[in-house]
Amino acid sequence: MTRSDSRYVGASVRSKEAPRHVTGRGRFVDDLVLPRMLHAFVLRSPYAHARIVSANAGRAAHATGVYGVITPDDVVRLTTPFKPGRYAAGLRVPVPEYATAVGKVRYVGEPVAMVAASSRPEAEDALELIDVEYEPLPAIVTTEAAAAPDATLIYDELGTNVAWQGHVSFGDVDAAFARADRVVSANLGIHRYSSTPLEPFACLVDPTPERLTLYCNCQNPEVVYEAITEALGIDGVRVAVPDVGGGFGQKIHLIRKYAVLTALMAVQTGRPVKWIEDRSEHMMAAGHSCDQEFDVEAAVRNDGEVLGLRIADTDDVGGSVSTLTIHFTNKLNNLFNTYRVQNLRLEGRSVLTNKCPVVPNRGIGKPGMCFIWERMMDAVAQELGLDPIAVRRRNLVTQDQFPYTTPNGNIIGSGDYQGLLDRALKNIGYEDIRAQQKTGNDRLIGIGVVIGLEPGGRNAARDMAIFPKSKQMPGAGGVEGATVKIEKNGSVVFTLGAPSCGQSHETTAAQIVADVLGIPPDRISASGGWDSSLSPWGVSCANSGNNFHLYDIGAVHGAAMRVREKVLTLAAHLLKVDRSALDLRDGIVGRVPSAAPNSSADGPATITFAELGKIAYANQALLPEGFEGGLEATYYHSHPHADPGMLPDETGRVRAQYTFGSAAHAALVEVDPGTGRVKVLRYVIVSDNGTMINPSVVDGQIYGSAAHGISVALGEGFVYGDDGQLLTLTLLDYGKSTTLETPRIEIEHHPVPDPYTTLGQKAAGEGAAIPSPAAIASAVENALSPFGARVRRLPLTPERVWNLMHVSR
Amino acid sequence: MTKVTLNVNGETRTASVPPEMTLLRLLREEFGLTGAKLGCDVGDCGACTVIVDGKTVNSCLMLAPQADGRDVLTVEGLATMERLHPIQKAFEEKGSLQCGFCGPGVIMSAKALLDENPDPSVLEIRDALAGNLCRCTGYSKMIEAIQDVARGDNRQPVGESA
Amino acid sequence: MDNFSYARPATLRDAASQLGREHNRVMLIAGGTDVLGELKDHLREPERLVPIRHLKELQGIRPSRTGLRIGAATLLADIAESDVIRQQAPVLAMAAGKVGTPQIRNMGTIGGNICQRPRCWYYRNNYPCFKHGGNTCFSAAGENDFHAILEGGPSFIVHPSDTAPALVALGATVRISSGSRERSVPIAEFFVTPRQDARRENVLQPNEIVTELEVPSAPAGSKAIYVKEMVREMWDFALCSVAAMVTVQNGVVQNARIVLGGVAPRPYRAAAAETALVGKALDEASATAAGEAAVQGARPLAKNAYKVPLTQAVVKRALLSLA
Repeated sequence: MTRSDSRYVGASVRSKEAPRHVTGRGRFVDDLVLPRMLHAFVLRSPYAHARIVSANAGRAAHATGVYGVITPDDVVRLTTPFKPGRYAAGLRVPVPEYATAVGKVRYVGEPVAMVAASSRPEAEDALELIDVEYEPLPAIVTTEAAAAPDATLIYDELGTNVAWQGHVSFGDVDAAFARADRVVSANLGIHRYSSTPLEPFACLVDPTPERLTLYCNCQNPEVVYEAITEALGIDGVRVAVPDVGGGFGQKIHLIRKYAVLTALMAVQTGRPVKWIEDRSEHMMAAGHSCDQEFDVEAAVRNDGEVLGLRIADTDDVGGSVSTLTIHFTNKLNNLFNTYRVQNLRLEGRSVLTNKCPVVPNRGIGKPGMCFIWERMMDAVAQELGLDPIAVRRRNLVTQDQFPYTTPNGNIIGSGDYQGLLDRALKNIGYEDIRAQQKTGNDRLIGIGVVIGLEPGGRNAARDMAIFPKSKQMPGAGGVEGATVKIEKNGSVVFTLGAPSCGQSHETTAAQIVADVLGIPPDRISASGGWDSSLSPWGVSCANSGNNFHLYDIGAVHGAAMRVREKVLTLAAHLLKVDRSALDLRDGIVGRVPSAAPNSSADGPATITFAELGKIAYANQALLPEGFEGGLEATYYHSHPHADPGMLPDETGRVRAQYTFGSAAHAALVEVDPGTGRVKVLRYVIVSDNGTMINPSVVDGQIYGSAAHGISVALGEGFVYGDDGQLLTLTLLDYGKSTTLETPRIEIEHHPVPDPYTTLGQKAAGEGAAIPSPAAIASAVENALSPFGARVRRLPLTPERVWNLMHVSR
Repeated sequence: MTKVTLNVNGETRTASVPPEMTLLRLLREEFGLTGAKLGCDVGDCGACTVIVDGKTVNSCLMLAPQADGRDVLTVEGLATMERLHPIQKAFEEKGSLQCGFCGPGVIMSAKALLDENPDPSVLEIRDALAGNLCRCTGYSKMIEAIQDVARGDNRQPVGESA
Repeated sequence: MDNFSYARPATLRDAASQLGREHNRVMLIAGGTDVLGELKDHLREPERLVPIRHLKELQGIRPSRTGLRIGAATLLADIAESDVIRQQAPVLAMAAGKVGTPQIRNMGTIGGNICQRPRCWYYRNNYPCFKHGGNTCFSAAGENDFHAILEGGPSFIVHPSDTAPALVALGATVRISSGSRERSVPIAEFFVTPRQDARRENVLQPNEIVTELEVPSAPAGSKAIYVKEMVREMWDFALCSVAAMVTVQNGVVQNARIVLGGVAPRPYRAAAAETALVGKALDEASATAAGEAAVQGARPLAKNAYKVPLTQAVVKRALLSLA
């Protein structure tokens, strides 16, 4: 397939997933029922910080209907602790972490025990019969308190609550500050929020004699697969991922604890065990983004050129060491945003507190980095009395610089940042709005225009950039497979190497296969959910890192090309023509009309996939010599340009991700002067996602991630009491936005194909969640300009905005 | 145990349930109707939305005995094997859903809206869907699909188009 | 949820006879939207639930001598959409339409709405506060962003009901039955301050059921509005709500009722605001003055000072919309 003959790629073809979802026939873990299945409940810590004096299963074990109880003692006796992963490589001493709390609880909701019974009510009742005695310890809920010299230690073995400190530095930062006309500084902050997928965690384990099967709504099956293998010491493990009700990073890390507990329960009882997390459990213990605080200094020239940035980043990582540096290292993916600035130093501190551990959320690290850059661009403009757009333009990577290598080693293949800004300004009517603002009226209307990257395709070695001495490399680059098969009846089925959480992977992959094999998408289907024993998966198997567009598309394209080769070879043999004279269209292989119309007319002119299938699988006599039977192929894809910078060098330069989409966001907001409430009047996005395989799917990803980022900026988030209790246990208190607060989002596509990917595609997933918090902050600050207010922290709740107007400026 | 008899999707169904069983669990666990989803269990998210006596309710906040003697319509009752309901068709064509978990609830809210108000404004659509949370989609294409149905773009069942 | 027994009473008298002498051992359930939330969070663990939504004594919207009689089991959605209520007591229809979500309004009843329990996150997280029989209000020194600025102490919850301020503005009467005995309580006396009873929000006895609301028709020529200020646009509970009803004759306010929700432990009648308005033209100046008067005596906590000007602004805006 060449780009010119794509019939389905580039079209908004009908969704493959929709028919089952609109009829309620999606199959999610909680929809599955197995014979003799037990129901499990998790007992959780009521304390933010306490020593576990004892935990006794006795009374619960003898309760009606109860088949099994697992206490921390059982977990220590029967399982191996999780290996420190790539995000715990910076620990001074290794800290064993198990599926339950052991010895201490470190956050409210931390799992302590599990009980399984033949019915849900029996299991729930039995929870109260597990006797756990706690010795409460002081709860630490702020990084300042945690870092105080006399602070109670959350992990005694670390000797400090500042569990990791490190930095990356590129260019000559000191020289940049030395030659600066001035230094602009700001203290910035982003609060604790989360992704709150509609479907909470779910595990169902079937311990059949030959192996243990886990049905689980995990995004990255490798994490739970390895967790069970290592924790239970068995390799007869199968992980199956059916439909998943949203992921966004939430279902990657902490879900392994429950996978292991449920698996252990199934092994102990010899029965299938189902565990379904409830919403309040999800809110308190399934993982949050971290509260991040940034002290930022920008070295600038009077013309608005930014010479360098110094950032001191404090991440509140909660009560676990397993994801210690995850928010820090994800900043490497867009460390310089869209700017050609050459000098930057980022210092990081990961501070433990008695709050929920941190996990990825839509965009992780990148929204923070974009927030830093875009807030500083506005701050620089204010300080220098320049136009904020002009300051951005002064510093953007220009078109002649592509492919552009950032100082930390990312290679940005293509882009048109000035063009994105031009279109965003035009679409929102920037000049008119500015002019109206000057005429002066009572309304507090503000406009914010920002720009950001959407990195895609993870390099497995990225996190080692901050641990150059680590001996345990978790992998490097990316590897991911896919299988494509023409069935005996001529229909086509494909198997992807990674699960989907609702990003229309079945639809998009079918479009690729359709074009390569010349068969309409309605004759193509996905083989089903993800299955570790059937899916060809590598290190890039992840519904995260924006991996799909790079690895899975590359893999399914490669597999389809291999099948196409087989089809052509077999058809040419059977039709007795040269393969170059053949074409594939609508499931039929035939002579290209223009090619040799007068060639011998002995045999039939065409052959269908079904006819080929019957021969390929059933009639060896008709196969060409040396032809492998069947019409199936598997292909593992890696990024063709992954080699340079794949491994971190001694300065920490590494290709963190491989493709870089980009977008300009323009927000028009109105602040209610009486109540401090912010209303988004218009929201405009101009987006470069490279070649779009399915524009409708791309739109869907942009709508959803923008809505999330806007909601985060305007108020959704977690609140802890000073005793470490989470107060926002419901979606209502947490403040997820509804149809009414979510603005209409206006999208224009401005695709610039990526020179290195299979079809020129770039990522289209979490992207709009990255600039949107910064866009809202910028617009609100502009609206509050009569008060001289500076927006430095999120969220912009009515309370915070009112205070910006009237109390703290 | 309490005996409940209700009309579900046009069929009379009976079950003997503990009084604390919610309508949602009755539908999912006793009747095998897994379209309605458990997303929060406290009436915040709307994934469990079904129609009782013509009105949308959070089936997680209704005890099964409270539904005794009433008419319940779930997403499974909207379509036949051959023919989708126009709302389902529009959601399919627009690609309104992503992960699909919130979909059955959203579609039931849309159905109740259009039954009462065949030509709603965008604000009325947003109002009617405000009890159904979604994290994937930003709601945009759901609203567009409902507008399509209201305009009649999807009133007639349509065959597969190219 | 823990096990409880459940038997459907045939009559109001049957229902009342099942109620005991102490709160919470036997609980009434009508729409269930608040009760089930409480049971699922183990805030209360009753032995028995008595369903009352079906009772015929609690149904219907009927004319009365002075206005309307609204059965306590009437759905909020039906109140919001009722033509007769929209005509005779529009502020109530508006308030009912602002409750929760469409699904909640299709389930919740007006009786349940005025009897709902606080949304304070300490209460809902089962802290041993006044409402749970303890002797502390955890919000006082805690996360009190959404708590009371008026009439607070010793508990600082805010009353969450939307219909209650509207009913107070209308001067409704609550009809209450214990099966054998009936009584009528003016709605302003139905609700209590924490100083009167820190554990409960109203005067309902354990063996009593709200059966009906007698709602006088709004005064002839009056105009009314219900404004609800939330963090979000719907679904949420009020940061501040205002039920305002004014009668203007010859350009002068003859009569005003201004009742606030979401700012005090009970619906708060802003008498000073009413006084500030009566005898004046309804304009920017009088509305501003009424807004200021509405928060007279406000004592915000550490984190909710913003609610004072917010309330002023909402009152002013509500009144100006009636001008």
